[in-house]
Amino acid sequence: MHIRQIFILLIAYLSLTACFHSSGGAAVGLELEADSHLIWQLGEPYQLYVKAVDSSGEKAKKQPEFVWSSLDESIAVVDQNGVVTALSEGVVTIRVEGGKFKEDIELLVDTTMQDVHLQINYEDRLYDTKGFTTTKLKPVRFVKVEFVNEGSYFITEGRTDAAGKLTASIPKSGDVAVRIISELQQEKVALSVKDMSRNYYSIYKALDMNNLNDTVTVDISLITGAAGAFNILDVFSVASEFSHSFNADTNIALNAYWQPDNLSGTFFCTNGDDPACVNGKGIYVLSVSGDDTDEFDDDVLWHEFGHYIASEESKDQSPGGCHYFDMNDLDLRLAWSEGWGDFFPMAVKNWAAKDVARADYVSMDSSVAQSFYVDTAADLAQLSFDVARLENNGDVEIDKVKIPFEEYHVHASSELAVSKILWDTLSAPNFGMSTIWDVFDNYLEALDASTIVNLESFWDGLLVQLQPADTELAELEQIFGERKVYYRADQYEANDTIASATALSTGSLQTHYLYSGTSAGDTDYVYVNLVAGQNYEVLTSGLTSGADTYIYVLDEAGDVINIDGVPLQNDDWRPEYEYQYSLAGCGYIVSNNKTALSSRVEFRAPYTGRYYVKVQSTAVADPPPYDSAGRYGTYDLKVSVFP
Amino acid sequence: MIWRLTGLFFLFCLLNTNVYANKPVSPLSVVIESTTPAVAGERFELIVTISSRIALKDIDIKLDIPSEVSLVSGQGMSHIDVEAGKYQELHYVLQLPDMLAGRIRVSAVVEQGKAVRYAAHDSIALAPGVRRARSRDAKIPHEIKEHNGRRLREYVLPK
Repeated sequence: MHIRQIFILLIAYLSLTACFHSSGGAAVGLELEADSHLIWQLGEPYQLYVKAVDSSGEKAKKQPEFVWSSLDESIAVVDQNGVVTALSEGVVTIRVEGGKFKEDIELLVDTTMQDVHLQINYEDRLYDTKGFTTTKLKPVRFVKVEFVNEGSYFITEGRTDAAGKLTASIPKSGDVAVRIISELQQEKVALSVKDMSRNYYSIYKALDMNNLNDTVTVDISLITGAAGAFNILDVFSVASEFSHSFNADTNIALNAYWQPDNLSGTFFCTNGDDPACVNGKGIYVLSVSGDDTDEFDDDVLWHEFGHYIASEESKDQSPGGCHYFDMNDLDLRLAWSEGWGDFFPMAVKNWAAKDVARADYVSMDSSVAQSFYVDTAADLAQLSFDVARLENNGDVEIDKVKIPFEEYHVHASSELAVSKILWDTLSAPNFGMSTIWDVFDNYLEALDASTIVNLESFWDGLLVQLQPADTELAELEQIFGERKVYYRADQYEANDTIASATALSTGSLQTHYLYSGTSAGDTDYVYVNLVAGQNYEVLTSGLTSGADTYIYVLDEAGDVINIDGVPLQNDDWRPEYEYQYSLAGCGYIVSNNKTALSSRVEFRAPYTGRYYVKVQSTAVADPPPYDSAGRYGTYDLKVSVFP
Repeated sequence: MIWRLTGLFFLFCLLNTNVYANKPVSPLSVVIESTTPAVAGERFELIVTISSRIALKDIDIKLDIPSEVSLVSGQGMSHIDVEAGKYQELHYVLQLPDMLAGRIRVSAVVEQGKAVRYAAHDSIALAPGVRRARSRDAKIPHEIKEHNGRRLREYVLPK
């Protein structure tokens, strides 16, 4: 035989051997799940299990037909599937035979029950603006608790109450254990925390059956490694209660995936399309070994819950991606979404502080303002900020550009500006969280899919839902204006037609708002006197809050001037790289900076006299990524003599 | 150093690529590198790199070392500025004790007015063969089991 054929046969033999070996050998006996069982209910089916095993203790390849019998049918009967039904109290032997083997199982039928009172707590980490301070036991609220007997047979289940208490009736005989599972259920709330393999976190504790007269306390300490799961549940439970205080009909069904030493990052996924969202929709709380973990960072967890509730109860079109909270030039949709996320923890803490019954809901030190957001790394706060006090922030420098503090955290393209506007709206006596939720839940959610959701939509919603009186409108304008967001008529309004055009001198700069006092949009007309044969430049600049201008140069009849067949009009003139730039670690991101979407026309004046410049917002139909801008915003306009 | 930065860059990419909604990110970071292995009774050199996406002034840098470790050169507390997108390196030389134990940690904290605070830290465990140790407490081992139709990651508390 050829060596190659011998080799192939050898491989085949080894494969077959391995195959048969892995499926189990001949039976050498029977294995029971337990030698004895306690049955505490009469008339209820109770399943017994048996299997034939081989010499290595593995399930035998061939399982015999099992024959079950009860040695005293006045106490219990058993069917041929191993299902026992107890008929009266006492002790009975159940026999199972398989092939040449047999085993006896002792059953104790005792229906005497007793109440057990549980107090279940977990160890939470408290924090202030500088990081974690100490720990405190907090009740494990509304979670699922199972009672099982020694063989892990299910006895009963219940849920802890708001104080972490639970009373259950359990058998007096035998051994009973509790299993606390990271699953929370209340009316219209279903929350769970699982690891990345979708396993629930579970705490198992055998009860001391000789000492059940007093309340049994189960403390899930940090050292178990599972306390974080119950904090995540609690934080989301509080957020659910907060959301229900504004809309009791909201169905909240949220899975969280928490696993330290796994992947990296804390984020919310709307679905499983992204490779990072391996378990589909949910909030992921992950960290690589030794890195930042967020299971006790309540503000971070509420931030992500804010994204969840926005996706469910409102409308959120954020493209996601990089966002440093100091960025001033974000995609308006991203700025709105993250600003809402930054604001959400503050709103929850503000709501919790209104009722002493909710005092335990917040782990941040009570001396710290609710408007603080804190994210820790190890025991230090790696990031903390107070949106209520942004005005004292001092000058900063970003990418070698010095930015005075009054230009920092401003405009609709800044997530912190959005957050500050929401916080100030919440804090204003005339408005409050109910006003914000009304717009968030009722107005934004009802927008059709083509409407871009950002701070502008929120403003529009305030006008529609609130129908503000003049004083309220002035108050809102003040709140938005404090962050340099000007959704109001500028000093040149009304200049929405040629007939109402306002004057502009060559060389001078005018600041306009693309907002005429209503949400209908704005068109600004200015006129300027030019000299025939002179070169001119018409330029918009200083674009903020997502302004995206489109300019036209018109003659005295109101027609767009054509020179050599080219109409004097322009949308964007800057190169695309100014709008999309590469940021280390982020790839290309869009920038609603002051010039990227500006407009420019250069021409030689064909006649001496009056010219009109018409400026309006670029059509909403701009293709992605240019839809990152808005319909409103602020711009500067200048007509200059051009050499 | 380059591998550490590459690792951080990879993690950052993972954190930020097309995920729906990330948490806000701090611009400040600290990385400790040792140029020599930690050997009991020997000198131990550290390079600490503090970097920031935005310009930050008057960052408080604090070196925490076990009481048995002495600082030969470098300042236990210092204040530095970092330009936008740049980094600063601080060099430390430590004298290690005869028994290696504890942790060396460098933290950086900066406050902008009363409203904003950034902090970052890094640490090295002083134990033979351990480059970096976890700061968390030891955990109870868990086991994966199936019960009542659920898969559980179960932690057993003492009776």
